[in-house]
Amino acid sequence: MNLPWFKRIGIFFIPVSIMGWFVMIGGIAYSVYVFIDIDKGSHSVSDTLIKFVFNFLIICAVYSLIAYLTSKAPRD
Amino acid sequence: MKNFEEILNGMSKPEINNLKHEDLLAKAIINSKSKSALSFWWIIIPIYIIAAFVMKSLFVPHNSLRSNLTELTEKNGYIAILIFIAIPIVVIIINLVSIKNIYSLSKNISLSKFFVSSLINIFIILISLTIMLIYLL
Repeated sequence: MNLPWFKRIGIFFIPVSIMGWFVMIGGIAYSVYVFIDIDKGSHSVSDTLIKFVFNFLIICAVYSLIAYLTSKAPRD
Repeated sequence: MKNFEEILNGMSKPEINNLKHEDLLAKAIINSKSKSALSFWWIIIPIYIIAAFVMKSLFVPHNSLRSNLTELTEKNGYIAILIFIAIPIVVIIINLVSIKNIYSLSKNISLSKFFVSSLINIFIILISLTIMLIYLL
């Protein structure tokens, strides 16, 4: 496990290692799964978007927490 | 005694090329910006809910922000407390610790420079307090 996995640019955490890319791709894949799941039970586009944005914000918050904790190089 | 005199004669003035204090302050400021980025992504969750409730109160008749928050608390009490109380409190603590770290290392810097370096942290603390007040009042 080689830290750091992420680098911060502004308010975004960009992956800089393979593990970071795994975390990002996993987050994107889960977002797509949540979107499809919400869309199945929605009555309209706005219904889908309202429900999806809240879930997407939670996914972004968890991603940023993981990125923050793994963005620092280990102390020598 | 002769060795002691040789040691004294051989001593030179220590030269400090690198000030560790400046490195520590730079690291504290960079760390505070990372914490403010993290705080932004967490505080945007209650901001989004409040914005959605405000839109609902504007476009749906016989609706207000207060009634929507009360309805949310009655249906999902724990989630409402987590989103509107717990998250802002954690964000406030994180940013207060950042400000405290910068303050303790910036004793030789002017007050205006200290405020500029911790402006985003102060702004996020104020937003968190506003969210808590909106929910509690």
